[in-house]
Amino acid sequence: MCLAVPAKIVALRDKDHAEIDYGDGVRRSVNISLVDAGVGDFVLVHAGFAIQVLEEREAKETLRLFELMSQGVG
Amino acid sequence: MFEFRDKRVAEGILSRLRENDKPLMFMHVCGTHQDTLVRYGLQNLLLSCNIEIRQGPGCPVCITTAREIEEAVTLVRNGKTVATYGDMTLVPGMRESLQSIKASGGDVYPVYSVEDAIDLARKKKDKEVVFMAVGFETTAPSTAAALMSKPPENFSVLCCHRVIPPALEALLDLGEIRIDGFIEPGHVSTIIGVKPYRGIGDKYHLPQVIAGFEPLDILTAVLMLFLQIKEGRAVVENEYTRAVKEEGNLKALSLMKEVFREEDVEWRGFPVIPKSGLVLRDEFVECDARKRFEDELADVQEVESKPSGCRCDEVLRGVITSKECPLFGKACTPDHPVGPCMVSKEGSCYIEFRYGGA
Repeated sequence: MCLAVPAKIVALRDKDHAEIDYGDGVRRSVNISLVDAGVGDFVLVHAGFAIQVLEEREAKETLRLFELMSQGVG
Repeated sequence: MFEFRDKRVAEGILSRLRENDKPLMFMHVCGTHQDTLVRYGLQNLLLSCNIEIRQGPGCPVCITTAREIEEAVTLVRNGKTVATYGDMTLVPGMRESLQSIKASGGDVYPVYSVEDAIDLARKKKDKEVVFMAVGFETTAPSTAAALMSKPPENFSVLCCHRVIPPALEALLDLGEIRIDGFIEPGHVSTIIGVKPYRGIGDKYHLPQVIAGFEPLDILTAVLMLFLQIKEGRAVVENEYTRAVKEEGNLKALSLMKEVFREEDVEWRGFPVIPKSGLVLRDEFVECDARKRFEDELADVQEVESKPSGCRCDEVLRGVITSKECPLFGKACTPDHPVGPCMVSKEGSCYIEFRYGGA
């Protein structure tokens, strides 16, 4: 139940809702009142609500961490 | 968005974990972590490194008590409409599940979101619509947001939300199994942040790593735990930095604080865990189904029932694995579940049956 799926905000609908795309091209409406996010941001969606904004810079850092850890540097 | 499943990287991490020379037991409390561990065969790969990982009470549907389900069933029996998350409808209460009472004419709706339940209340103006709100900190903010958005008068909430950190302490206090480290739940942590785990680390001197849900997230988190143990450290590390911030989600936390207060509640398989349940504050009494239908709910029994032979309680405390339950895969399957851990898609028995090659 704590499953959350990354999705991209593609349009704003009203004060609390935005249209998002999970990457399959289909647009769905989610509540974005729990986050500060705008069009183009990636968010984690859980039970119809965006619960956090994903940080692209941190995602890249994590990939670097994986490399370092796998090579025994970390 | 990026490549989180590089086989070469996984092999590099595993080769470092093979240096481990003593049996280690790590626990996580999240059905989605269990799904990744079993579906990608990580559990067996880690066992070959002498590292066992068990799922604790990390499935909101599984730890919801039979009494709470009985409250929802009683409301349906009394003509109310009950909406809740899909898996929750399948778990039996004292006698019936929401699904079985729906089959005999009860008004039960599985929903994806609390907003769907509110839409239902707007459509069914002449009915009382009760949302049975289950879930941890990942889900509770959405219930809080819905209650703050002036829902219709015929909408109320049967609040069954719980919070994770007190359950981690309860597991350690019970002391039934040795736990060498916690893999902390990534999505709960997007809301609560890093800080709540620090107190646990200080009190029990236990390594903890907050982890994401890709196979490499989990392998990296396990390596981070292993390195802490090897170096004699016991700190909270955050592997899931792309989603978990130090302070968590402040907007969500402040909404939760405004709407809920903490209370001592039971979890299925556990004794009462102090300050682990969320109940609605007095300001929201009008939306509180337990207050609104107090008379109807007065007869719901306190006695917790357990199906004969079912060992879900021990599975939820991580004392046994799903396969150690004599009913697993025989009398208890996803088509004919005996206990909640086989009902919910986040239950460790369901996941083991579906993907574990049993």
